[in-house]
Amino acid sequence: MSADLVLTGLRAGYGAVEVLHGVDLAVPAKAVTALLGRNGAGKSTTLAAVAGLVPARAGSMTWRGEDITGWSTRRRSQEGVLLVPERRGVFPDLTVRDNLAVFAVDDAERARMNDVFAAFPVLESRLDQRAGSLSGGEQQMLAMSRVLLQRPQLLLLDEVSFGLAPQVTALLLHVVAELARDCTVLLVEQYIEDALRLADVVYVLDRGTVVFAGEPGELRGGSLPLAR
Amino acid sequence: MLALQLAAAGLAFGSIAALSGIGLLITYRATGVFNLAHGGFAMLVAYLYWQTAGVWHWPVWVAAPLCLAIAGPLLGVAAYVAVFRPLQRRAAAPAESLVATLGVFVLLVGVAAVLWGLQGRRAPSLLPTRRLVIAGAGVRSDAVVDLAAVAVTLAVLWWVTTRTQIGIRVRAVVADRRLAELSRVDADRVAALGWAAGAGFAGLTGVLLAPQLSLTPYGLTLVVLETFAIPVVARLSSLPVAVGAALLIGIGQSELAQVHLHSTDWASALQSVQSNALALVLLAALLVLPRLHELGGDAGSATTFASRRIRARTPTWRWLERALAAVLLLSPLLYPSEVLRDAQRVPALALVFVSIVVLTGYGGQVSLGHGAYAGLGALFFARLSGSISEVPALLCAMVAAGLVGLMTGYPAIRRRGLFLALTTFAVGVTVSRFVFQEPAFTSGLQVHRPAVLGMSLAGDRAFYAFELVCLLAGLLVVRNLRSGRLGRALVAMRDSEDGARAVGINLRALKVFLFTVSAALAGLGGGLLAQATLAFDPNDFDPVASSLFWFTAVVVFGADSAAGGVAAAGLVVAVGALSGTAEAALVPVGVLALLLGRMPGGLAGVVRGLGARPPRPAVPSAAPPALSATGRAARNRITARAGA
Amino acid sequence: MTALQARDVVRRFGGLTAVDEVDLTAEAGQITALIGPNGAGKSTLFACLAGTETVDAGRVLLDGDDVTRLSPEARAQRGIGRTFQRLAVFATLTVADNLLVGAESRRTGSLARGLLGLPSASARHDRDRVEEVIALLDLEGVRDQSAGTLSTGGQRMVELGRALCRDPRVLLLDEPASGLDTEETDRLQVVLRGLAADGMAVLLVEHDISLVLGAADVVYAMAAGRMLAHGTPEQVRSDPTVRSAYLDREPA
Repeated sequence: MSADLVLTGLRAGYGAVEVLHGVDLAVPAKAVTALLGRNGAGKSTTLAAVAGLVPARAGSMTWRGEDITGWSTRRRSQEGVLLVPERRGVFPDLTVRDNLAVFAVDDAERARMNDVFAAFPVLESRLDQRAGSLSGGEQQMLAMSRVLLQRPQLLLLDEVSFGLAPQVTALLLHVVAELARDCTVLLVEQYIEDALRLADVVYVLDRGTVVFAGEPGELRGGSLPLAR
Repeated sequence: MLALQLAAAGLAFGSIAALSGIGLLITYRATGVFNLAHGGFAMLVAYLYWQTAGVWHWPVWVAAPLCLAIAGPLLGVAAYVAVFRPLQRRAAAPAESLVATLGVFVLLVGVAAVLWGLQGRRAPSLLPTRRLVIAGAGVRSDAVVDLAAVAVTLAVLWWVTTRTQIGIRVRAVVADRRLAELSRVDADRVAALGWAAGAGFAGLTGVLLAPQLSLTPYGLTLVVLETFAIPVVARLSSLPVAVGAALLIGIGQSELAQVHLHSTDWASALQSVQSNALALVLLAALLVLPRLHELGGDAGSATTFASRRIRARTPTWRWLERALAAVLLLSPLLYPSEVLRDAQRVPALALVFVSIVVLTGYGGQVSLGHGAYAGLGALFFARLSGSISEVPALLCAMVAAGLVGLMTGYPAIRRRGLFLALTTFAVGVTVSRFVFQEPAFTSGLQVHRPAVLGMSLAGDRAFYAFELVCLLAGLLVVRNLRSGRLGRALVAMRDSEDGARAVGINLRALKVFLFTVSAALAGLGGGLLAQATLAFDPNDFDPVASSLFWFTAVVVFGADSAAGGVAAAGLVVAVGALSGTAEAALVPVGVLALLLGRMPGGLAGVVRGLGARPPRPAVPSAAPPALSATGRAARNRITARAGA
Repeated sequence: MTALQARDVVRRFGGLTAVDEVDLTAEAGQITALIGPNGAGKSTLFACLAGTETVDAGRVLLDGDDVTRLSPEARAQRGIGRTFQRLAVFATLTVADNLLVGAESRRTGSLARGLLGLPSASARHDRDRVEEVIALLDLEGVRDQSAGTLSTGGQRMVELGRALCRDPRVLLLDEPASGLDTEETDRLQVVLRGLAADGMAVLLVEHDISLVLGAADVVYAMAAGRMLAHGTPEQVRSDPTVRSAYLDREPA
C-alpha cells in the first residue's frame, strides 16, 4: 500500500481566520481513509483544500509524487480529483437531465449513464424535474452520480449522510464501498460507526490539527482520543 | 392608426433598451456581477463609432464591425481580466465588485470627458432611417431592424442555453460556480464570455442610441444606466420578461404622446413622465417588486467599506494630522481671489462627502443618490432665500433635505446590497429628472450669500470662513455619531447586523435616522455649493457627475473616515482647478477604485497604517493539541507503511 | 413554567422539509438541549425560534404569547437572548463595548440626544451590568481587546455575555461548546447551570453529547426534520427510535 495523497504541514483558512494549523495526512491508495472530528475541527476545510477550493497558506500537497499545491480547482478535477461537497452537490436550478449533462464531459462518461440508473433507479423517473425540487436523499444520489460517471482517481466525500434517513445513508455508503475498490477515498462522516466500518485508516482532527492516526480497531471500543 | 404608428415608433427605443437589458443580464448571469459600468461601455463605444465613422469618415462596414464586434467585447474582456478576475480569485465580497464596477465606470467617463470634452456630438446613424409602410402604418426602417436584432438575439440565446453543451455549462456556472469547477467546467472562460457579450451589447446600445440623443460623456451614459429598469423588472433572471418589459416601456412611452390634457401644468408633468419613463419604471420596480432581497447577493453590505482593523494611533500623529488639516483648510484665506473662488467649493463638497461617510462608512448603507439631497439643499436654499433671510433659509433647506432623506430612506432600507444601491440611484435620477431639469423649479433663481449679525458674508474671504464654520459644525455632529451609545450601536450594526438584531437594536429606525442625518448634511453642503458659485447649476448635481462619482471618491479615500471625505473634496477640487478640466479628477479616482482590493479602508486606511502603533499581536491560536500516545504510535505505522 | 414553545412548526426549502411538524418546550429554570445528527433540522428550528427564519406552518409562543410573526429584534426586546454558531460579535468593538451594546439596548435611547453628544440617561446602570457579566464570565483579562481578535472560544463567551447583559428570560445557544477547549466547556456548563438556577430558560443546540448529557434537564432528539423523542437524558438515550436512528451511530 503506498500513499497516494500526502499533506505536509498544511495551513489554510478563510479571510482572517486560519482553520488548519498544519495538517499532516498520508492517504493510502485504493483504500478508504476516514477523517473524524467535532464540528469546526477542520474536516471540510481539509477536503476543500485538497480539491483546491481553499488555497494552502503554507505546507504542501503531493498526489502520486507530484506537487499539486499550486494547481487550480479545475486542473485537479481534470486530473481525477473529485469532491462531493456537503449538501451542495447538485445544481438546484437545472433539471436532473441537465445536471447529468454537466457531470459527464465526454462520450465515455456519458456511456456510464446506465450505471447511474442501475444504482439509483429513482433518478431515471425524475429526469425533467428541477434538482432543487428533489428530496434530500434524491439530491444526494444525484450528487453521487457525478462519481459514477467520472470514475475519479481520488474521491473526496463530505458528509454523505447529511440530513438523510438511515436507509438512504446506507445505500449511499454501499455505493462508496463499491467505488473504493479501484479508487482512493478520503471521507468525512459524522456517524463514527459507519465510518469505522468502511475505513481502512482513520484520522481524527481537532481544532485544525491531527490528534489521532490509526486503524479503526484502535478507536472502536476505546474512548476517542479527542482533546475536546 | 395613430396609436399603431406611435407603437411602432416606441418599438425602436424599446428594442434598444431591450438590447441593453440583455447585455446586463448576460454579464450578471454568467459572472454574478451587476455591471454598473454598462453605461460607460456603451458611451465609450458610441464615441469610438462617432470618431471613426463620423470624424474620420471610415466606411460603415469598417467602422461598425470594428466598434461593435471588436472594441466592445474587448473592453469587456479587458475589464474582466484586469479587474474582475482577480476579485473573483480572491473570492472578494460582492460589495467590492460593486465598487470595482463603479471604478471602471468613473474611469471610462473620465477618459471620455478628457479626450472628447463635454460638448454634445452629433453621432452618425448606423442604420438607414427610411420610412417604410407595413400593413398600412408608417414605420421607420431602423425600428424594424432594432426589433429584428432583439428577436434574433433572443432566439440565439435560447438555443444556446438550452440546446448546447456550452449553454448548459454556462447555466451550471451561473447556478454554482464552485460546483461547476469541481465538475471540470472552465468557469473562467464562461465569465470572460459573459463580460465580452455584455460589453458587446452595451456597445450596440450606445451606437444605436447615440444618433437619437446628443452624444456627451454624461447624457448618453445616464440613459443607458436607466435601462437598469429592465433587468430589475426581470428580477435579474428572465430574458423574455426583460425583453417584454423593455418593449412595453418603449410603446407605453410613445403612446403617452397621444394623451392630451387641458391644464398646461398637468400637460408639462405628463411630458416629463413621458420623456423619463425608464427612470420612473426603475424606481417603481425597485420600490414595488416583492422579495428582491433574495436576489443580487449582498453587494454593498457594510463592513467591506471600512478598514477592519482599527488601530490605535499615537497622539502625536493625531495632532500632526489635525494641524496639517487646519493649515490646509485655512490657507485659502491667503490666496488671491480667483483661486479662493475655486477653494470655496471645498468645504461645501466636503460636507457632502462627509454625509456619504456617515451613511456608508458608519452605517454600512450604500447611497448612489446623494447628488439629489445636495441638489435639493441647494434648490431649497435658492428658492427660500428670496423670501426669508439667508441663514434661516440655509437651515430650512437642511431640514427639508433631511425630510426628503427620511421619506426616501424609509423605502430604500427595506432593500439591501445591490438593490439598495440601485434604489438610491433611482431616487437620485428621478429627483434630477423631475426637479433639477424642470425649468418650472429652477428658472429665475437668484442666490445670495448670507449675512450674520448684520455682517455681510458676500466677500469671498468672509464667505469661505463661514463655510469653514459650517463644516466644523457638521464634523462635530459626525463625531457624535462615532462615540457614545449611538456610535456603539452604529458600529454594532455595521459589524454584524445579525448580532445587532439579536440584542434587539431596531435596525430600521437606526438606518432611517442615518439617512435623515446624512441627507441633511448633504443638503447643507449643497446649499453652500450654490452660494459659493452664486447660482443653482443642475449640472453640479447630475446623477452621473455627482452621485456616482462622489460615492466612488468617498470610498476611495476611506468610506469610514470623515477626514478622508474632507481630503477627497480638497483633491477633487484641486485636480479640477489645476488641470483646467473639472472632469480630470474622475480618472485618478477611477484608477484608485480599481486598486481598492490592495488597500482596504481606502487611502485613509493607508494613512492610518503609517501613523499606527504596531498592531497588537493577534492572540496566538491555542497550541495545537499533541497526538496522544496511541495516536503517535499508530501514526508512525501508517506513515511507514504508506511509504510517505 | 413554560417559557418558549414551538407548536407544529414546519419549514421547507424547495423539495426539502427541514423541520416537519415539530413540537418543543423550554421551561424556565431548566436547561433544555436539542440534539441530532448534522442536517437533522436543529439549526433551522433554532432559527425559527429566534425569528431569523420564518415558519411555513405552526406557531412559536413566548410566555404564552404568539410571537410567530415577530422579527428577531422584537423577540429580543421581549426577552429572548441568543448566540450564533457562526460567530456574530461586533468585531471592531472591544469586548467591554460588545457587552455594553447589549446592556444599552435594553432601553430605547433618544437618537437626538446621541446626535448632540449628550450622555445616555442610564449610562451608569448599563456599565454596572457590564461589570457583573464580565465578572461572571471571567472576561476581565480581555475586556479592552477587539472582539474580532479573540479565539473562537473567546468570541463565544463575548456573545454569551452580550446576550446576558440584556437580562433575557430565554437564552438560545447555538452550539456553544464548538471551538471551546475542555476547560472552557466545563466553565460554560457551570455558568449555564447557574443561570438556570436563577430561573432562566436555557435552550441549547449541541453536537457535543457529553455536554448535553452532563448539563441538560430535558433533551429533545431530532433526525431528518422530525422530533424523535424527548425526556430526561436517560430516557432519550434508551428510547428505541433514537437508538436506531441516531445514538447507536454516535456522531463524532
